[in-house]
Amino acid sequence: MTEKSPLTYRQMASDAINDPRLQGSIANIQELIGNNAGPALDQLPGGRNARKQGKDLRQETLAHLDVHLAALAQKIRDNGGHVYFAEDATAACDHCIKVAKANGVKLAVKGKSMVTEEIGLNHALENAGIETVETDLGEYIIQLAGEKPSHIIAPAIHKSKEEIGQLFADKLGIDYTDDPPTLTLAARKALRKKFLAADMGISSCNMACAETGHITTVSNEGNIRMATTLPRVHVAFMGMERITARLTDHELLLALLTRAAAVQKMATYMSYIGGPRKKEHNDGPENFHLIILDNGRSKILADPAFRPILNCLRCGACLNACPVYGKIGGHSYDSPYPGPIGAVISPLLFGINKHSDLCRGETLCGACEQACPVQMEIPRMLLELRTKLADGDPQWQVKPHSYMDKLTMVIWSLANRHRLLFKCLLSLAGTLAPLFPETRFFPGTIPPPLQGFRKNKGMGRITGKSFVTRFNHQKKPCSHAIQYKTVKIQESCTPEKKEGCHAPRH
Amino acid sequence: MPLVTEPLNNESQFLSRIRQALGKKHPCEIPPHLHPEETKHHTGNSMGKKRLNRTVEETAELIEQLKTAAAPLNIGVIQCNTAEDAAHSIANMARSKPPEWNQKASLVAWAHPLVDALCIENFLKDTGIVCHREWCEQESGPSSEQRQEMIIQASRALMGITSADFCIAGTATLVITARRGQSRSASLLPSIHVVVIKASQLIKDIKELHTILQWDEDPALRGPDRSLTLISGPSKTADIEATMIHGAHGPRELYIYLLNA
Repeated sequence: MTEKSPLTYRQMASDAINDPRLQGSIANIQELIGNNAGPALDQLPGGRNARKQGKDLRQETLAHLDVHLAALAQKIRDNGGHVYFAEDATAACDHCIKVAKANGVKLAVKGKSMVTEEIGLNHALENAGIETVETDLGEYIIQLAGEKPSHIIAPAIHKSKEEIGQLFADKLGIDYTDDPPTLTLAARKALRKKFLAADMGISSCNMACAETGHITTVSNEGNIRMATTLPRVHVAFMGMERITARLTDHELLLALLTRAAAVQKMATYMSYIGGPRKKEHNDGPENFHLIILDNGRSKILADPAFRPILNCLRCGACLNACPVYGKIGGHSYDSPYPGPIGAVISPLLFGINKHSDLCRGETLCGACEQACPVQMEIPRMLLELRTKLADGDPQWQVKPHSYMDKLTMVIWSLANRHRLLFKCLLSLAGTLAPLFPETRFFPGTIPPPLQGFRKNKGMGRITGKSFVTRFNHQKKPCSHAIQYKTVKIQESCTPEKKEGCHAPRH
Repeated sequence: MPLVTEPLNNESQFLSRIRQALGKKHPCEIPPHLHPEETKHHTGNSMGKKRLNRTVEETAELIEQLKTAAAPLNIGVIQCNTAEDAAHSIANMARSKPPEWNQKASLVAWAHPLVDALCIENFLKDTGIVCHREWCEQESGPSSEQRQEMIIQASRALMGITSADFCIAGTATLVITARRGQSRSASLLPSIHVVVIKASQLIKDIKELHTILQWDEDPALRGPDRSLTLISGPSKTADIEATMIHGAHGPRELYIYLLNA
């Protein structure tokens, strides 16, 4: 989860771009969901304003998060449930293992959960000798293949039906088929056995409610209902920000979530769970444990620049809109959270330096912000992260990403503010330019350490004389009209500005 | 059952870290309208009573809304005048569908007035199809063996017959609460889920549901205290190459029998 993959962002991105099948499936989901989620959101009462209302609700709630969490915990305990506040991933995993051991759990079934991916729960449980089975079809495929999810709501988007067919033939012992209904049926049968045999069900929490004291789970497959109905013990994990103050807040936020995530007015199954079963109930878990996780979220909460990222509903709408995700796929982000949301939240949770490629890889085109059902300003936050990487930030323990980048930018800035220096550098570059071989994109090579600059962009030839110098020395203007215009421009520009205007051409 | 006790100081540290992050000095700093305890004073009561005095026209409109919403979600809506009609249709369905998990078809049914009124056994007499009624005897609940047996029955069943508290017409959403004799598994494990409700149980939207959950005079409808599920269609998945398939884990088919009476 958080270990560094041996492949770099650049390599993984490049592999993804060269994988035509992956490109096809991401394009498919971006078209199916990405193109339709926006109009579906706009159909909500309030139209475009619904997203603003959603954002305001989330912000209001976060501003009093402590009160809401305390109320939630109290109510769940009143109902006979247990609540544990986990400071970090280790504390959360350890507590879950403790609960499992105390209840003699051997087999756990899991609903899809981003937060357990974040803390590496499966790994921890397996190490503790507890078999853990993912039950969301996509997650199950990924688990069988020993891979990681590549999309928040469609974790196996990168696998073709042929690959899944082969995987099921190998792992489930069925005859090879690439027919999706047959494959789904095979998984249904295999997982049904697991559900009935499991001692513990693990779920996430899409949203909790402080007023009523329940958690809300959302799924289409019904696997979360299975995991929270059949086993003796139910352990639910929630990121601490995943709460609403009032039950009525659920109306808008759930509508925003399901529309943005899958263009649905309502998910197939939404369950409000407030504790273990009552004694007169015929089924349901005897024990209910809620684990509320911080794991770096309070630090994000404390920084006004990044607090809005906690508004996130984890719908994946930004992934379905992002042109970068659309090309490089989820695995390149090397984090449980891919896409634009991942490019902001992964650095904040796991280290800005560690995930420095992510914010620099995004284009700041703004598609994610437009798609977001709670209007998170992801591009602004990406820029904030870039600034921290450029300048360093002791509060976030960020070291400047590259001193050479920083030095280059300082010189560039100085040169642009001091005309004489600019001219000197320009004529130096002009003098040196003929030493390099001329190609279509001049110069063909730039000596280290600046060679990276040339990698993905072409550049005009730097001549000995600048445009302004040549312009001023031009003896024969083409016509009076043009001469008149140029004079006007010259008059309206101060010498400083004039250089500035033309600088990018050199 | 051994209990895991949670250290409370852990909680206070956790919450004080949040307070620090928010720059709050006092734990109770919160605007009154946002306080979770304060919303009880809202005037939502009138809306909660709305379902009790809907006109015939309003109900008819809700039925139309339900049908429109149900079709694309693959939910069958069948209107019946009497419980007998419904039972007849349900029994026919049970006869015609092949069982999924067992050689012989079987049914599980909630202990609920609307389900009891079907007298479904009478319509299955000559078919050999068994209908298991849910256990609903004492306040203290079934023994663990009985529980286990009920789960096994539900997991092998072709059909689970339940009712619902409400049905949200606009999104074809069934509101199902776990109660005595009314298990969660009957709506989850069988291959087909059949729901019997009266037209008067139709409500407009989730807002109306939340109003009822918070302010209804009937405490049995208030909640959600432990387990309330909103079901809008049969189980489905699109995880393999975005191909929509019904019956991922839960029921493959869902039918709503709407009794006009």
